Amino acid sequence: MKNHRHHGRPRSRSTPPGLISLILGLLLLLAIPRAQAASFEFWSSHAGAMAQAVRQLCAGFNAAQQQHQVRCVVPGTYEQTMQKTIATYRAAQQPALVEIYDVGTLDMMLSGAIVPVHQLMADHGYRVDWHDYLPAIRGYYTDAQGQFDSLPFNVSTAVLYLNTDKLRQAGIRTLPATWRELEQTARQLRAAGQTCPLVSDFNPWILLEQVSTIEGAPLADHDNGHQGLAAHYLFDQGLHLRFMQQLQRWHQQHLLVEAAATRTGRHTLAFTTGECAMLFDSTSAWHAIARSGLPHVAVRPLPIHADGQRHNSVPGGASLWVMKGFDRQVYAAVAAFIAYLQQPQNQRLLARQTGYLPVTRQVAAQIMDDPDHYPAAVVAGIHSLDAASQPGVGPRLGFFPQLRLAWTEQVQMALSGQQDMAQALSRARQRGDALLQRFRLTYAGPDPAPSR
Amino acid sequence: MDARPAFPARWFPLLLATPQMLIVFLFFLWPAVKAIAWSFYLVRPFGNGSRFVGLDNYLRILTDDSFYASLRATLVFTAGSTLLAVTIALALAACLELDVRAKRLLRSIFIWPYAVAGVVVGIVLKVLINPVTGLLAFLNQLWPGVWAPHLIGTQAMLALIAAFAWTQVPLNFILFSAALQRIPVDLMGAAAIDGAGPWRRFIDIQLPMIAPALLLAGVINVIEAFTHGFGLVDALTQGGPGRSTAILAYQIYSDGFIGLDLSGSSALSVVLMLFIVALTLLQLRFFRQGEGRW
Repeated sequence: MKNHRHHGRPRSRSTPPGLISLILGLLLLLAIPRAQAASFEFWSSHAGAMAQAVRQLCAGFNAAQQQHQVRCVVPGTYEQTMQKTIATYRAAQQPALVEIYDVGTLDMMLSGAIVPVHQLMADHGYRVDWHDYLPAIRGYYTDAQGQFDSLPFNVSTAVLYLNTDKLRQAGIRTLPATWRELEQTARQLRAAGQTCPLVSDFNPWILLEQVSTIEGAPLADHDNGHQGLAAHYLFDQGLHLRFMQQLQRWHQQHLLVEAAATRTGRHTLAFTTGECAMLFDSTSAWHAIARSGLPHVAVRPLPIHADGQRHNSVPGGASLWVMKGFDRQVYAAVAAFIAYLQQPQNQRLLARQTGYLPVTRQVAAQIMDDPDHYPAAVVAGIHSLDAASQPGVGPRLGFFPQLRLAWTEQVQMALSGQQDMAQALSRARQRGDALLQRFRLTYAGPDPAPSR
Repeated sequence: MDARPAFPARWFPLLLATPQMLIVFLFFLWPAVKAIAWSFYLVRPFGNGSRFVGLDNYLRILTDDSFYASLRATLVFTAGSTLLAVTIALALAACLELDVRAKRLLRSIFIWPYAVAGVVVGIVLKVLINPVTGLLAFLNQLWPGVWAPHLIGTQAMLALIAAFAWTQVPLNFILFSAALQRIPVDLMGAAAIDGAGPWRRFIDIQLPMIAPALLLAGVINVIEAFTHGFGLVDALTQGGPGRSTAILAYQIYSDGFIGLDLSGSSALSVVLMLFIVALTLLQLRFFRQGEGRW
């Protein structure tokens, strides 16, 4: 990486006599084409099936052409990659391309440390049809001018997994599509002796962000934060409050079991081991579920309320950011890699192997035309992410990881009976508003106002 | 004649000490200075701007309920784990002073846990406290819902205290064993001849004579709990349920590294630093008083 910061090093052309010099000369000759090609580092944060798919994409790119080379590195989890990106950027040792999780999007947009991906591609002569990206993804990842600052890469969303064998044993024939039907299904399962009808890890990514967005209820005003940093939270009333009060009743009636109260303590495993019959989880959990050997699993979009109208769900996962601080040759290589990742067959590879969703309408349509050759979670995920024609309104809010923690902490206190759900959400909202205000002040300074 | 070796030059010793001084400066002093500086600003994580806010970060912390919840959790965690670790180590060390078989073997076995990292303890304990399959799951069969550390903060804290104390016992055990062995044999023998049983001898002779070691162990445990409890919390409870186990060290990590709130996290760590300085001063005073006996 460092080499490419200082290009045009003088190379020795002299070839003095002697065997050693000859060998050195040959080595130099070999080195010439290498030195002109650019190589760069790409950081991603996966284990398991997705890590394997990323390795495959990296190897595929390096094999497909001779000019550029990508070195794929896994620095750790999403959070650790974010920390290390910040630390290395401040020390001028950053990678050229890095995968940052969904909630880091606003921090990256405001960082002043990135090259917007639409600009990079335009600068290097790639004509990308950005309008072909799914509306929910465009809504989540584009800036105020409707341009992509980062490349949506691994997009997931939350879905409902059902163990249809258990449903059949309980005499249930139709799969639930509304929350009322889900409750009914859970009751029937419980009556048929299923101790854990539905499991959740009470993750706000699903219960707060996905459920609200699917029903068109923003978490915050100012268009869920997309119109600047002056937003305030709204989730302590209306739909989310009613929904969480309902969940609490289900929790008390043992229709919904907290993941920590299951044998394995983890929600995905609680489902794959057959302990629980239904699960809220990411489409990216597909691989673990498919490999577990459960014979009959159905996947559906998350339910909605019967009187509600289905909106696009929120794209989770991560996007790829191009970091500042490299020369044109490195950026040419990064652009070539991004173009490679965008190719339909590579999107399909990712979808088929991992349960992450395609990002363009073209590929989504191809998959929906041939659903049997793709994971059921991908098909349900596309149904959920691309349910309506209007762009999605997923949240874009400051210090959002901390809001998630505050929500979790307050909801836990409600579940254990220390406060009621209305109090819990009201306290979480207050903490959230304080966080938003701090975030606004942090970025209110004179300079680099919101990166474009 | 002066028996102390003296270096002839003035700069040579300093030169020899430079590497260590550099290390201390780079890895201990510089970060501390940086944290103090950041605590007066609102800092953008990528370094593209910051804003001086004076004492705002501190005022915000001091008026925030969740800070006091963290502080309470820290104090309960520290006091609980220190008390437990000292008591268990003392009991083990005192028992090994009696006439028991396989003394040497037991002595080395009691030291083993020192080699286990906090995160590993957390993961193992997570299995042990599971309400369905763990050690106490039988309670839930007798009274459903009675053991639920994922919902009941007190239970989560108890598990955390037990786990952390377990990691602290070995060091205390070594300190106490060493101190007990320094007690003159004839003193113990004389007491035995006078008819004092093991318990009497322990209370009247051994305990007072190892008081400085008790104090040292206590102080070390307290500082460890303040600063190093965080790996365990991260693996076991992530501060939950409902912030009941969000000790300050964990809150600093979570605000700074997950939330990217560098200034808030810095201010919190300065507060923690002040606590530790106060504790250390207290420790020094105690040691000065006890100097003669140690």
